[in-house]
This record gives sequence, structure tokens and C-alpha cells, in this order.
Amino acid sequence: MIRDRSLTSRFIDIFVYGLSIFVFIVTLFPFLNIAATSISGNLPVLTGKIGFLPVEPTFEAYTRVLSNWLIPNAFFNSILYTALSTVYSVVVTLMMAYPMAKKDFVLRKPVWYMLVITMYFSGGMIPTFLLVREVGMMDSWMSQVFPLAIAIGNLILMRIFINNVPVELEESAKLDGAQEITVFFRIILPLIKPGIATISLYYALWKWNDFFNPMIYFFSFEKFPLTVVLREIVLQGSNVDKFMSAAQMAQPDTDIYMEAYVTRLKDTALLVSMLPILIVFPILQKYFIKGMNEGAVKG
Amino acid sequence: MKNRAVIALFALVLALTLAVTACAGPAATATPTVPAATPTGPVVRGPVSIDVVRSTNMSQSYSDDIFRNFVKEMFDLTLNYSYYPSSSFLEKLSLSFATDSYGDMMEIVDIATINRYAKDGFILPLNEYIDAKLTNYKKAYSESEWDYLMSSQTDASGKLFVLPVRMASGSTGSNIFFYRSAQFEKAGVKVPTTVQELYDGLMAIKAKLNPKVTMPNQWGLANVYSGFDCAFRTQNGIWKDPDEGGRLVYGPVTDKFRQLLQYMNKLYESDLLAKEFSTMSDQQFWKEYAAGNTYVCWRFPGFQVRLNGILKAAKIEQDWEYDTGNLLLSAYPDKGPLQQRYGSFYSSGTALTDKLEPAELDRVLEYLDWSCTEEGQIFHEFGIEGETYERKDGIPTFIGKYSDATETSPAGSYYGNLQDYGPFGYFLVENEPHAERAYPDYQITNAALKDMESMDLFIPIPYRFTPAEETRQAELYVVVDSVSKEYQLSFIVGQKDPNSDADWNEFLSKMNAAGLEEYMTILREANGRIP
Repeated sequence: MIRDRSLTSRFIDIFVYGLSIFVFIVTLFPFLNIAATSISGNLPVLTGKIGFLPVEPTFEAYTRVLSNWLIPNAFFNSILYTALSTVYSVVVTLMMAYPMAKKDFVLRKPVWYMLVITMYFSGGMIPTFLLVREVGMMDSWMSQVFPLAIAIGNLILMRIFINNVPVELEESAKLDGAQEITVFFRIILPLIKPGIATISLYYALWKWNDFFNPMIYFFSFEKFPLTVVLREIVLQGSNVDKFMSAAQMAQPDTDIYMEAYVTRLKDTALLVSMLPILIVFPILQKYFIKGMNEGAVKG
Repeated sequence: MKNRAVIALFALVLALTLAVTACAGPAATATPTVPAATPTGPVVRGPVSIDVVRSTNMSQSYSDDIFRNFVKEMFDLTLNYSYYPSSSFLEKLSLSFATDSYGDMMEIVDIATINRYAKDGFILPLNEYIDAKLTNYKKAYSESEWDYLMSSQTDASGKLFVLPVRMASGSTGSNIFFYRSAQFEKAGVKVPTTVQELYDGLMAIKAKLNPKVTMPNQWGLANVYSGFDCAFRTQNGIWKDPDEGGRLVYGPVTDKFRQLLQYMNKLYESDLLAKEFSTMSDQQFWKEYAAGNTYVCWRFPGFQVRLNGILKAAKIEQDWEYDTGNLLLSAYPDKGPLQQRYGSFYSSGTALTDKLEPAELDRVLEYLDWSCTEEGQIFHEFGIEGETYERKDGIPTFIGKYSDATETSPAGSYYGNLQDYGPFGYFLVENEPHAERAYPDYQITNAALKDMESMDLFIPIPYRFTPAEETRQAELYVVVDSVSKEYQLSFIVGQKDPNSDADWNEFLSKMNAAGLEEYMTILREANGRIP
């Protein structure tokens, strides 16, 4: 590759890098501020002295958030709903993508049209709500797993991945006596791992961040996932007292710091909720990018 | 052939999955139920089970077992709670009505919201049960309070759909001014009694003690007048002005409000009012207190503990005080200030829906009325004697995990709500002796503000609109309010001069162009229909 060393090119490089760094800082600052606030003391928070770095560092807010039942309970619920729904969604997406990738499947086109139509016209909130209620999934983990299990975008992606597997491999396996199920598990599945990782991440992110469905389908306080509980805390400022022991609420010092305490607890709760995605994303990132690229350029 | 069979099997599973997930069935029509009719028919005694809706910020689901078991044992009434997230309560409530999945009873629901749903017939009118089955609830109010409740919280035809939560007089009262009195003394000025003395005092402190003296403001423009509106005997909105013989007026266009704006402008121009007063965040607001730059504060009695705590943390002399002989400021010493008084009930309460069968309704009313007795009040605020509280010198006191200072389990982790709403997060009538003990500062200030009962300053004005009036006044309100706020802000920051007759007349003419006259005419007529 020949590098263009002209003045214009260098200027453009400087501009692009400069802009990227600026956007990076602008994006990173709120995160750092939240992190710093969550581990700072009450007075610096109260007096607005927190920037990028913590002042009077303390992990007390983390101890409080993690030792109280509310966030860990919601955290567990989120993990449970995300894990179950991701596994189920990936399985049914694969089950649907495989026949949709088979050109000799006679119902392929009508079924495909039926699927694509749902991208543009959904059943709507109220009919879906009524359906979930009628099949007895209200206030149950099932309401987070079974309805809306397949995202058509992910299905299309998986179909492309399966289509991209050379048909010769499949035929070769069949010549060696492999059944369809063996072909799927031994030949197709290993070759579409990047695609599976990609849609897994899509599904997991979607379910982890999903606020609306848990909000409408759950009625029990202890079944709410993290998104609902966090929204309560961040937008409503409610339930913050539940993080505190009677001792803390009763002490004059806690009352004094209530405003700062609320800010710290909110920020801590936000950061704790980000952690799983922050941990999982780098691990799956290589598959994610590979999957996106492959899905994008081939069809 | 086998290949096709396997593919067909996959397709079948896919089709079934589709049917359950992506393709929801034909749209079910959300049919509103028929207009609420009073359930009639024989009332049969037996076990009753109802669904109750409650917002999560009031929920104490972990203690509900004790609560529910007691109610079941006493009334053979099973309460099945559904918790709606408070941050999306309205959305979820709307969905429940649209899908016919709303409960039988709703606790801590906003009266205005429920009155809207009542128009579609979902909510039971309660008027006919008040004298027959809710006698203890009515007894909690004085005659004038009850008349006010029935005129202000009912719909256009006088129907009451929500039983508002009755507040104890011991837990409510006027906000008052706090001052850092030691700093006033150090600056050689006395703690102010008039708005002019406050201005002079703050300027003296600024000159002698602290170059930055500021009055921060929370919650936007409307809140900046807090306390000063009392001093200038006016209101930023519709109210009955005692200086105009109790006539319904729009405060911001009166001369008294102009004088208030002149004063606020003077504070702003002298750098005493925070420049960001209309946009300040909570954090910015408290930052000024923690920095020791604030010398006057308008809050509820008892707040000085918090104010002094902030100073203590910041290692500043803790001198926030209030003086029972000097609780409000005055702009007109000959008349004195107006005092603040809140209504005797919250803007939320309990509603019953048309889903209740006669037997259920009867049992629920029996339970609700019992909850208003002394025994019921104590139960809702303290729980069960021997289990959640015991009496010490006759005073209910929490015991066990409900009072354990080191308790971090659910039962011990809601001390704030415990203080305010009891272990079950809910009561229909607040217990007066408990409130008196819990909020001693209110007693002191209420005693000091002797004229409190004669003031209607902060009580909402009741209206009975015709449907056409209701629509028109809502349209006019948007324009009138928008123009008013725009000019108020301009007057305070000096873009318009509140001392200039030309600017003031421009404001008045803009308000008239916005439809103020028509707006006021509608409101006066609608208010005149209140019996």
C-alpha cells in the first residue's frame, strides 16, 4: 500500500484523528464521571468536585448496593431472563434459518414472505399483551423468553451464513452417509459459529436492555429485572431508601448527605448494571465484527 | 426424501414458534366496559378475594404477608397485590384498562388520573357509600374540610371516585424561612423580618463576610418565588386574592406580582439570586449550601437539621435557625405576609373499580372503613402489636427487625417509608398522635402561625366545567401560561424592565392577546357552579 503523504492528506488525517479523539473523550467522560462519583465521598459529590477522578475514594456505595436485596435480586433476574431468552432465541432462529436456506424446501418462499411481513407489521402491543395473558405467561419468566423470540434481522443474518457454507461440504458428508441432522450439527454449525456469536450478542444485548416487556408483563416487585428497577431509581428517585439500613436512615449524617447519597447510589447501580455487557462484549467482539462483515458482504 | 422430511419438521416447528411469538393473533378490541353501575344484588358473607394495584414506590411487598394475613383473618378478605413500576405507572394503568386487566381496587392513585378513567365507566362512584358504609372515613374530616373535598375532588356531576388519604394536621403546615442567624449578627445586621431587610442583610454579609452570597433555586422558574410570594401577598397562578375580596384573579398580572418581579430583579441584578436560577440541577443547588454561600432558605419545619448537617460536613459553623416569632417575611409591614396552608388530604388515595361484585364491594368497604378507625390507623402505620410494634408508655414503637438499626434485609431497609407510611406503605387516614410525635416542628410552627386556618393560599380552586369549557380553558391555559412565563423570566433577568410602565403594559397586552380575559371568565363561571 502506498501512503499518500501530501499536505492535504496529512491535514485530513489530523482532522479525522482529532475528531475521533474528541468524540472518544466526549463519550468516555460521562462514564468516567459516573465511575468516579460512585467511589467518591459524600462531600465531594455534594459540592460538585468530581470530574474524571474520584475524590475521597470509598467503596461504601458498592457495599451498600450489593449487600442489599434489591439490586442483586434484579441483577439475578436480568441474568436469568437474558440467558434463557438468548439460548431459546438462538435455537429457534437456527431452526428457522436452516430450512429457509434450503432452496429445495417447497414452502420456503411463502414462509419467508410471512416472516418478512412481520418486520413491517407487528401484532401490536395490546394483541400481544392479550395473547401473553391468555396463554398464562403473565408475571412469569416465560413472558421474557417465548414471546418475540425471533428477530427477523437475525434470522436473515443466519440464513446468509448458512447459505455461505459451500454446498459441496454438505454433499460430501451425505456421500459418507451423514443424515440431515448430522450435517447440521457436524458441518453447518461449526462453520457458522461467528454468526451464532453475533446473533447471541444481539439477542443478549436486546434482552439485557429490554425495559418495556418486563414492565408490562410483571406484577411482582421481586421479579422485576435490573432495567425496571434502575429506571425507578434513576428517573423516579424512588426506592433509594431501600438501599439503606435503618441505621443509615436514622443517622443524622446520612440525612445530611441524602442528596449526595442518592447520586452515588444511582451511579453505582448504573455501573453495576453495565458490568456484564462490558465483560462479555470484548470476549465476543472478534466474532461479532467477523460475523457482521461476513453477513454484510455476502448474500 | 429423508432430507425433505427433516426440513419439513424444522418448518413445522418454525411455524408453531411463529404462531406463538411474532405473529400475534387477530387484534382483540379493547372494549371499555359499560359505564359503572352500582353493583346490586344480595350480599353473601364468605371468603372474598380481590386484586389490588399499587405503585412500586409505595410498595413494601416483603411485609405484605403479615399485612395480608391479618386482613384475611379479620375480614376473610384476600388481597392479591400487583405492583406497577412507579416510573411508568400511567402507561401500565392505561394498558390495564385497554386490555380489561385492571384490578378491583387501586391504592395511592392520583385523583385527577382516576377521574379521567371514571369517564369511561371503569371506576365506581363512592358517594352513596360515604354515609352508609364509610362513616369512619368521613368522621376524620371537619365539616368544612369535607365540603371542600366534595367540591374540589369530584367530577362535573359531583361524583367522588377516589377516597383521598387524610393527612394529620400534625404532619402539615406552612413552609418557613430559615436563616444563618450568626452570620447576620457578624455582619452587624439583624435577622430580617421584611424583604427589604433581607436584601440589606445579604448585601451586608456580601460586603463584610463573603464575596459570594447566593440564593440557589431548585425546580425551575415557578419555585423561585417560594416564600416571597407570601411576603408580597400574591400567587403565580389562579387564586382567590383576599386583598380583592376573595375574587378569582390571575396573580402574575396584578400590581403585587409586579412588585414581586421588581424585587426578584433587584436580587438578580445584585448577584444575590443565582444566575442559573431557572435551570439549576439538584446538585448545583446543594453545592451552594455545602460551600456556605447560602444564608436564607424556605423549607418545611425541621429542615434545619439537614441544613446544619451540610455545614457540619463542610466544617462550617452550623447556624441555620428559625425563629417562631419571625417565620415569614413581609413586603407590606402594615398588612403582613400571607401564610401557606395545604389541604387536609393528599392528591391521591384509594379507588374501587366496576369489577367488584356486590359481596366483594361490601367486604372491601368494611375493611376500608375499619382502616379509618383508631385501631385501623395504628395497624396500617405500625402493624401488629407484639409482632411489629409494642407500646412503650402507651406509644406504639417498632420492635425487632423493624427497629433494628443494623438490619439490611428487606424488612429493615425501608426506614424512610416506615416513618412516613408505616410497614405496609399505606394508610387511608393518618394517625394524628403518631404524626404529632413524628413531626414536632410542625406543631411549633403551626402554633406560631395562628392565622393558618383562615388562609386558602395553596388550596387548589375547585371548578365544574362544561365539556366545551373544559376543552377551551385547556387550550387557553397553554398560551396564557407560556406568555406569562416568558415575560416573568425576562423581567427577573432584566431583559424587560419591571419598573418600566411601557414594558409592563406590553406584558399585559400580550396576556390579553393570549386570551386571559376569556380564560378568567370561564374559570370564574366554572368556580361559581361549586355549591
